Amino acid sequence: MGIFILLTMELSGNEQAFKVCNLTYLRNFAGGDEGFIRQMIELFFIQVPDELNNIRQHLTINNLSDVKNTAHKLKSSVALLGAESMASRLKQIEDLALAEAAAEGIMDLHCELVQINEEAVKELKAYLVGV
Amino acid sequence: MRILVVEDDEMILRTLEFRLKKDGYEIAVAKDGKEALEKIKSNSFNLVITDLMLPFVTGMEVLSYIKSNLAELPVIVLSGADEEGTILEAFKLGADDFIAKPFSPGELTLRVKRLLVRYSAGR
Repeated sequence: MGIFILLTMELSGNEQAFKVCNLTYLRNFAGGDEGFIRQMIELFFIQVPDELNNIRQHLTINNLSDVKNTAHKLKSSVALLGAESMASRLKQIEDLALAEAAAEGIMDLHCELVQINEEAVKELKAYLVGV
Repeated sequence: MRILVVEDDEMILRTLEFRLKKDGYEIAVAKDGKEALEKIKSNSFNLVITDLMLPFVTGMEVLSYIKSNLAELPVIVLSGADEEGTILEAFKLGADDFIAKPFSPGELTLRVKRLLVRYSAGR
């Protein structure tokens, strides 16, 4: 029993338990090229906070068209790393912006996205250390 | 074979470049519609892959220009999976194919190859 517990606790970078991201698509795409995976993760670290910040700034001046467009674009990018919980919230933001809904609902989703992204970054940094 | 990729999203752009270079194509990049038109006017390409949502000049405008002036240059449009209306509009403007994001590498390879073969054989 002790050995079983030890074996299940031993996690390599590939077996890391992800809660936010899922690297299956990226690994399939990379075809074994870990350098490409690393490059994409590092882009994620830069691009996602930038675009989330852009969404917030567009929202503060009630520019819902740019909120929608930014969310739309970012949705595809986070999907590359299998971050479905982020993609679904970005889709909701896109739909709310299109419907010209009140900013409050969009801002709540934005706050959730910022928190989820922090978790995603922790997971991905742990993955990079393990690779 | 030279392919122009028009995409302002860095992550999507890198995946396209990665796969297409792996497939052996020479790739040129434009990060907005204005840059795309400049490159199309001054260079020769065998295929253009363009996102529809672009800064300055939209993907639809790039597509429209190509189909009006370079009818033998095939165009694949990139779209989100939930953009049926936009995709139909692109086809009306003459898009040769579309790929929904995020795309599988195999699908990208097949769609690119199919178009290049078709256009090389004179359609």
